[in-house]
Amino acid sequence: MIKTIIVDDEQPAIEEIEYLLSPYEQVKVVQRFKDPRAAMDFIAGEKPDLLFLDIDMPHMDGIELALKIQAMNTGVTIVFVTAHSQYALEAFQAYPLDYILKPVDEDRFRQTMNKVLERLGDRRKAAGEEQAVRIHCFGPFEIITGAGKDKPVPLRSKKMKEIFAYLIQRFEKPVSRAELLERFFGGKKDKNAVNYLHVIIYNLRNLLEEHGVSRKQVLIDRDYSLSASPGCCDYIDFVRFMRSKENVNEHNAAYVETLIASYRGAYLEEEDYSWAREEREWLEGYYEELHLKLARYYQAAGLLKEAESTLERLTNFNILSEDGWQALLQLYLAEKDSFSKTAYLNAYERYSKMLERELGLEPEERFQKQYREML
Amino acid sequence: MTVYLLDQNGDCAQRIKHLVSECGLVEKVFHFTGTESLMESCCSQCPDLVLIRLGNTPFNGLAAARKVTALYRDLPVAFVSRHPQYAVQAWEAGAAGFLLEPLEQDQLTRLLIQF
Repeated sequence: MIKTIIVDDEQPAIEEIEYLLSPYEQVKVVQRFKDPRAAMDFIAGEKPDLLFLDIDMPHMDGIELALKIQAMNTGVTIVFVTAHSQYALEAFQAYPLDYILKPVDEDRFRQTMNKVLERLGDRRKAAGEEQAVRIHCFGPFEIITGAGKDKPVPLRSKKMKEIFAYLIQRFEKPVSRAELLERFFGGKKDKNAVNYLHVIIYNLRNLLEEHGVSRKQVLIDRDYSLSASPGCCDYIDFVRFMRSKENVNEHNAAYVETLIASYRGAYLEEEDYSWAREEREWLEGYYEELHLKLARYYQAAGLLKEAESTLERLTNFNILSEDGWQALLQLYLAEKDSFSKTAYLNAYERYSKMLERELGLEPEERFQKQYREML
Repeated sequence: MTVYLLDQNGDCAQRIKHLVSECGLVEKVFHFTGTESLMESCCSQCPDLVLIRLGNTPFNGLAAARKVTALYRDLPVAFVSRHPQYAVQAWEAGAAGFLLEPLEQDQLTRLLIQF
């Protein structure tokens, strides 16, 4: 339900908006005000979703009211409805969703409502009900919630998207306002930049909440530190495991498989964030290392087919992974009784060809010697 | 951030480009004189904002904005003009901002900081 209020000092104008809204079942007009001052108190307490606001009114004009409401950070979407075209320019200062002229043309109103529903329609369905959430940082950066039926949550503003990704990368650490202003607002520290940063963070929290992401799942705290429950973000799960310095063992091998599977592509691969480049390379290296650790565990546990397929997957991922190729060859040699000679010869030849093609090199002497002996 | 500027008047475009670059929030500003080339470029490298200058005959600029917002719904479009009377039409075209010329650095910064 889209909680809506109408503020206009003329009763017929209120009734006209109600009439125009009547086909939209998801919109519920919860209050009407002729006095903008009374509306302000109501909005502060009830936090409606949508506000149709006249401009030329006694006591307080609509633009002044809109600016005050925006300063309260209530998240309400504002549509100005006025008989006067001369406020159209000034209205831009209050960041409303739209500005329409009375008498309201039905087609024009439909255009406005399409925008309203696009912004608010899907979100409200999920609000208040915790949904499964998965933030994907590997591959395309996206938030998938159960409510979205695999449709990603729209991070419309590029700046919001980048700040969110940045807070994820810095998870569980406070991020200073100065750092965010420096990195994302060209170092500007004036009122505009600070306000806008607040609005972005506020909108981001709202967006998550409205898509059913609870604070237990993902929390952006007052000090801008972000935390996420296990299973909510592929990057955070991956880095947490790495930082734990755990070896792969029988208790966590299945979990490590899920971490490997969650690496669906390079870190933030479609985003050109300069601050993410180093992290991307480092994660790629750790992804390879995780394969080697897992393969070592499988081999020690006698799960040789699993060890083999893990190393094959590594050499497919990075054909230049010398560690991967060498571990595969060592596996075949160490477990001669379980693998055929052909498996070893085949892997050696692929390795050797790769080295020659990509780097113009031959395998190290010790590998050549082992190969000759095997022949 | 990257800004695409659509303006048929080369001199004005240079002034706007200069001001946009000066405010320290924008890495690249690309100037286009026609809607088609701007749309093509949006397809290959999506900017953060499209800035359209409305001249004496604003209708091409308004039509361009409608085309851009129809195809790239999430791409914000803002107008620059000497003529405040076009603000209502700017709203109808789905504008995210409208700046009155002569441009001032502060109003431009206030707009750009949003994207």
